[in-house]
Amino acid sequence: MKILTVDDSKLIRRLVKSIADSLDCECLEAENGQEALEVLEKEAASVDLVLLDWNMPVMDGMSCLKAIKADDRFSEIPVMMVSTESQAGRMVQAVREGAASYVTKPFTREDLAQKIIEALGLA
Amino acid sequence: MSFAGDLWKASAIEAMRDVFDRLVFRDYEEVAAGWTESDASKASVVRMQLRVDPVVTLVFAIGDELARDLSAAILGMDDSEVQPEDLQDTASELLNMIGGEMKTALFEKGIEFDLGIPDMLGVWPFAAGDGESSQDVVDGQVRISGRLGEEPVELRILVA
Amino acid sequence: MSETPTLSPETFEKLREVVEAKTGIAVRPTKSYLIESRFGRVLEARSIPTFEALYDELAQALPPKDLLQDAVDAITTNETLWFRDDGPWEILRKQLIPAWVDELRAGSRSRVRIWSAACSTGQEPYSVSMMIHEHLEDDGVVDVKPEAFEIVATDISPAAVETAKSAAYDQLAASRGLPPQYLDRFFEDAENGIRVSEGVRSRVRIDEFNLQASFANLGRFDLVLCRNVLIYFSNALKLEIFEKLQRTIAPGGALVLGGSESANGAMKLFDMKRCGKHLYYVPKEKG
Repeated sequence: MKILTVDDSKLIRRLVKSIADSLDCECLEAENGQEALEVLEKEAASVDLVLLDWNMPVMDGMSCLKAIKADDRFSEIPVMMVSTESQAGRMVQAVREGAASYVTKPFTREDLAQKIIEALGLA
Repeated sequence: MSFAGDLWKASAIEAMRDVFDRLVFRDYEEVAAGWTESDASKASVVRMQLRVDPVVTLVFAIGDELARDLSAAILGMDDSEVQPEDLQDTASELLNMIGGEMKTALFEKGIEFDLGIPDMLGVWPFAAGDGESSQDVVDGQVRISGRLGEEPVELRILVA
Repeated sequence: MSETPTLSPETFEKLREVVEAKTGIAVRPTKSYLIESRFGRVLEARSIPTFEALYDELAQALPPKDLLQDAVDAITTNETLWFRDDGPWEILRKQLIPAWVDELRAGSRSRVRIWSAACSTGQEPYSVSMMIHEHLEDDGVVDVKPEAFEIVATDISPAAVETAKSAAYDQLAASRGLPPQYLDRFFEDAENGIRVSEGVRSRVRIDEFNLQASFANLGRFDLVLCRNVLIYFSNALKLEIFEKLQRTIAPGGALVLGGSESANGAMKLFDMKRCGKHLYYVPKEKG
């Protein structure tokens, strides 16, 4: 299984990669929404899950989410928003734009791991 | 428009407590002894502007030792594997999370803002104090001095 | 007493501090309602008139041991189920027990040691024992004896340990989570309910133990179940216990926590792994 983590924080990208390793999943990285789209264009349908931060320079999470959902090549890939924003309004907005789920930071490894297990249908 | 310093300070302390507790099982506590020049000389410093009127800026600093320890603890590796450039990045993400929790708490008090993207500052941008007790507001800054164990953590809230 | 005394915020704080100081158990401030109702029962049972008076008793240099124990029992919930949660049982069934059986057969080990570190009234360690017996019997394993498995079970509460040692349960306790086929196979009738059968019981050695104490005399284990107990400890104690656990678990061994627990602060000491949908931890190599 392949995960793409999109976050301007290297710490978060490495943390997600570490969790993905624990789950025996491969993990690709991107620093912002723009890079994420570039990675998806290269990898296309081989990515099984995108973990997307909200506040990033160049292209933020919401814009990236919209772009992903508008592109037939990868609109089916589930997107999990990962953000410090925990207000209901933000979560509703994300889901309305097509996000499959939402995780708030700070998260525990176990939290994120369990959400990934569920999103990927690991058994 | 008056600046509700007390509310901001309370939300910042609660946010720091929660972030450090959840991420690494450590207890943050506010202390009276202030941030010193010595502390400032070996620290990772980051700044984040919050989009609100008037503009509020958070400046956050943690000692290098602590930054290394936390980076290793979060990533599950040995302290020796942490690179110097990782320290500021860790401080950045910590401020991001602290800001996020402050945003949620203050939203409930009727104070709304958007988070900016953290800026890594090379050095502590203010004249460092000599460790005198922190008062609530000095020179227009709310000063919050704290500790994680023995290690200093400093947050300033600046109003334009 | 004709009415329940009230617990003031100040007395609550004091009780919280004294319980933490004497036992290491940290009560989160948001649980005051729990404290009030449970300590209320202690007041009643021991005819102590007020929460203040209870504090005075606990705050002595040497508080009455059974009163302190009542305080601990009052704070720690007792959700005692057989085969609680799916996680540990899946990991045992799918991965650990088969691997151990292979190693015992191959002679690369001569025994397996398991520690149930907060065994309460015994359901957890006996569940492990049942699972091992079931595996050996159902798979027709004759060259590996149940005696190769040793289960150490400990708890801080003397009352719980006493029940665990008796291995006897009333109908209500027996029914919580116990599949009927286990009931048939591994239990016998007893005076007020049922008792775990001799074979399953004899795998398990039960003792009182405080997790704040040194683990040195316990030896090393291939599996430690430390479930739903670390949540009661302060951060400092939690970290200390993770450090001790890392030294106590043998290389290749595993640690399993409760279903909604986290080892977030201990990732310098452990690697997280997955078995199916469940998570467990293996100690990092020292050095």
